[in-house]
Amino acid sequence: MITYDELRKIAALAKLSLDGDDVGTLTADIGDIIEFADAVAGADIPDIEEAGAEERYPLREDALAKSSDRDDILRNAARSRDGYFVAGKTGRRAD
Amino acid sequence: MSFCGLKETSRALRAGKISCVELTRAYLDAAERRNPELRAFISITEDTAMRQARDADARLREGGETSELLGAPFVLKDNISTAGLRTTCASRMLENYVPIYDAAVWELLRAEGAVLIGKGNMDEFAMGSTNETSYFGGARNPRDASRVAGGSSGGVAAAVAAGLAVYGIGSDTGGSIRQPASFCGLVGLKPTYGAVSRYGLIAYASSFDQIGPIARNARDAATVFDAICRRDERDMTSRGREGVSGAMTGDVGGLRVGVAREFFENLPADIDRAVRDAASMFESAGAELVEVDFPLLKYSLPAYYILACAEASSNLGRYDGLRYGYRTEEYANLDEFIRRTRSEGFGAEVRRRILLGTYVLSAGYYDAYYNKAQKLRAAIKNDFREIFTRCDCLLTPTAPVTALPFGGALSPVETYQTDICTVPVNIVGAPAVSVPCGFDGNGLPIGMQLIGDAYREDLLLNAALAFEELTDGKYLVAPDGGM
Amino acid sequence: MKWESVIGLETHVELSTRTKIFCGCTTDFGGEPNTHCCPVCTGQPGSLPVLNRTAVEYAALAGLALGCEIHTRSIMARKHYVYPDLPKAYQTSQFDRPLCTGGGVTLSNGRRIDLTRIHIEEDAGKLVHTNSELMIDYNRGGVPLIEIVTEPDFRSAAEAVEYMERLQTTLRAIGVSDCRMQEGSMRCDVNISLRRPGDTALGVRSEVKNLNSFTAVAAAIEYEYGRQAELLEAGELVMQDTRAYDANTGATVSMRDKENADDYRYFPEPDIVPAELTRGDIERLRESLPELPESKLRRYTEELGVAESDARLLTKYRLVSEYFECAARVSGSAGATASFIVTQMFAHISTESERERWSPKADAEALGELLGLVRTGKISRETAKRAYAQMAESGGRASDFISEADMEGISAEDLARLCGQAVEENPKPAADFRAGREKALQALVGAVMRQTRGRADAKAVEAQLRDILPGD
Repeated sequence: MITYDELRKIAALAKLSLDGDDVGTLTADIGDIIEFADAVAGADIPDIEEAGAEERYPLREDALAKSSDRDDILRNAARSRDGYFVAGKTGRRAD
Repeated sequence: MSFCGLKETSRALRAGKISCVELTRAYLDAAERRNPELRAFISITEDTAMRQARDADARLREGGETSELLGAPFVLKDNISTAGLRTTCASRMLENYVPIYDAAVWELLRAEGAVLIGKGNMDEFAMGSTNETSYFGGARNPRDASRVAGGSSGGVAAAVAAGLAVYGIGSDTGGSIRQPASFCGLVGLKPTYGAVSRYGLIAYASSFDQIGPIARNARDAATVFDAICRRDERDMTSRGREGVSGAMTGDVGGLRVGVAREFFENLPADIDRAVRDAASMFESAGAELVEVDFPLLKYSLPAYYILACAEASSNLGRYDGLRYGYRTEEYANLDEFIRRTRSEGFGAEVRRRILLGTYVLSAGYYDAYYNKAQKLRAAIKNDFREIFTRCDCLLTPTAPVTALPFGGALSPVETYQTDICTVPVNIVGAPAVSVPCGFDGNGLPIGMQLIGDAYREDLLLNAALAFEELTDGKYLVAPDGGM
Repeated sequence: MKWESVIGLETHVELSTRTKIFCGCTTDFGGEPNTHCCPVCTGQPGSLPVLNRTAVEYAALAGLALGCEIHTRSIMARKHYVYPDLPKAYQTSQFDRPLCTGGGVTLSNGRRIDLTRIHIEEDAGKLVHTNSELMIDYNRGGVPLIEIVTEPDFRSAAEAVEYMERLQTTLRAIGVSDCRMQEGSMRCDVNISLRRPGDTALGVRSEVKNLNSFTAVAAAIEYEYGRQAELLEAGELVMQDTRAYDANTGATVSMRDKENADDYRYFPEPDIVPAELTRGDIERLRESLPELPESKLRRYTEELGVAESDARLLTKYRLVSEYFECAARVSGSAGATASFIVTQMFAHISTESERERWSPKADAEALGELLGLVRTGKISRETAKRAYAQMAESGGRASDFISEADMEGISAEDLARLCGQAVEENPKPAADFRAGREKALQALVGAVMRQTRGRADAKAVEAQLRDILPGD
């Protein structure tokens, strides 16, 4: 089960808006899914010792690779100017 | 011509019976003709295909060692990045997105001379089991147009089953290669997690996703797998493995085939019978049937959905309209811009999974859900390690259903339940193949699943080949398609 | 003080690897916007991170230099929040399994600052604000950072600044970062709360973020002390808060409201296999650590007899201390070499960046040779200064600028004769000196030096003149 208020908070974190949705159905659907997920609570399992990696992967060498062409980087942006991505209207920094 | 597998196609091209350009033209024409009704493709990549066909003809003329893949038309699921070619993930969010780089798998297949007919339809962002969450409408099952081709790689399966491509490349997170393969009567291989590079695969759930072939028969699946199972240093989780085609003898003498009763609970009678008959078939060929247990099966689905949705909610956070993709028109500030873009760009199932994923990661719920699911994952991996000391492969149905009807009005949770047999495989990261093994009362294909220990694709595909030979290939999509 | 400040610092340091933490794009500062980018660091769909080995090693070296325990297995985690400078809508960082824990720094007042942890993370891009828009440049996105977190052990702004300076010197000395606050390769967040002296419980703290100079750190702490003290004295509560420092007003300003406080939803990063360092790797790194500034300082003052103020300056710059040691070995007189570098060379190599780069034309051995000649009395200090001035212009060796004549010393008889001569030829200064004007002596010293073309030793001349003058 999930309350509308909890759903609203989750949606805010996920950057989804709830207007436009049939909130009643959505709340019920999400509630059902959470209930379905609740089944894991019933599993009684011991803590399993974390297996170390069987094979150590080599990490990447600190060697320069060619960067992308700026035109490519900006290619799919709907708004760009002077080489920057552009976002309209200032938001507040979260951290 | 158009329902041939790799071997026949390759022979015809080398024998000069047909040029690759002519062949490709025929495939493109068929695709154009049939796609409006079948909806197998989101994009038909005509220019690319013709260019590759000309290159293939040139290479064929040169002669020398080449792979069977040279000149063979194929379909790539539309969540695999193709630079310069639209890659949509069947979502409004990426409806006009054109990647600036190529996926590793696409690079490898291009190098072999493969010919790309088009990008395959799928469930939106690979989230779904019927292809119905596609923004472009779901792919139809070539065997019965009132039924779905399956999900999430439904378009790929439909294209191959309808003879519009010789083979296809799909992705599998909870069954998305195997289940559509079983619905359409094809062989679908989900490789071991790490066998194939995920570089360029638009992510759904990072620790579950894997790319693999959907093909007409086991040998074709092996040939394609061999071309793509390379270690890629651009994907830290990729390990690769050597090719398996050499191990395909068709001999299953001494193979220990495990059967766990938990997978057979509440199965429709015809699916139960088809899989058990397959078990007997293996036994008659010298395999040994072994009873094993998997009591944690009932927790697999909720554990999967918790973990996969958590990762999905994280992977899909980047879609905010600023660097690529859909953007909303009206907004009063940046926050509203992002929220509206996402709410309008994503379909309902994607939004539900993002919400669930956010919920299970959020403060206060992380321990009860995400953490608990991780512990379950470790326990299930442990159980499978145990199972594979007692058998070489596990035989299960691929799905407890055959191809579902369109607009079936199953609730989200009811739809999730159909993944019961496939999901444990992704939890463990094991390889598994779906092999056609029967038809239900409506003539719809039934698939069985063979699950193996890590990096035992050789064993699995060999068993699949054996089954085909033992049954004279009668469950494979026939050369004339039967449609 | 009515109130005790309880302060903790979180310092973000950019590691000076050649490439970013998860891709091969350059970490070079500056550059046209979005030209140091690729699908990985701009979060294009389907891109994947690949961890830079040098970033992990540099982070481990930092931990070793600060006395931390380095963990063989540490896990990257996704930290989720939404802001346009973060292309994936999560920052890949570390959460409950950081690379380093423990360690610390002892300040000059004897107080110990314990570190909680050091972890690795990636930097975000840069935002440019205009009136109605945000412009985003991802060049900085993906540059590797370490975050160094202290326990709330500071009690004053001065302590905080000293710690920051020590961090800077240490991390520069081991070569893992250039720690330039003005360029943003070192930034600091301050957590500060107040309590009554003697109390052990912590008060409500506020956090001031992104301070980019030592003066800002000190000013922000002072301001916060004042602001919080005022509230507490009026009987009001301090609200837990995140604040920004405004250098123009010297004040801190609240940045966000509590309602939308972020839930970061950390979980282990599935695309990156856990960073595994073996015990052997860690020991190799430990052995590769150069001598740290504090122990170098002790060695210079205690073993080499260098004056402490000279030693502090020399140990501040890795290249200078290397230069000094080489020159001192050749000259045989460490103290004089140190003093020479600090007075003669620092005079014209005067900016921080010049001293960090340290590329004088006069190489260490040549300087050492020159000063060796002074030590053995073959030339005077003045001759040495003059020769050095030429070496600083054109490089070369001592012998290029010192003639045979210079090498000849002035005999005691000659010295006496020349001094007497100077006194005779300069009666006024001599008379002035006798009358008590000390300064007048220098004119006579100068006369002798001119006569000897600088070969005489000025101190000896002065001593001689003092000897002969009063009794004359």
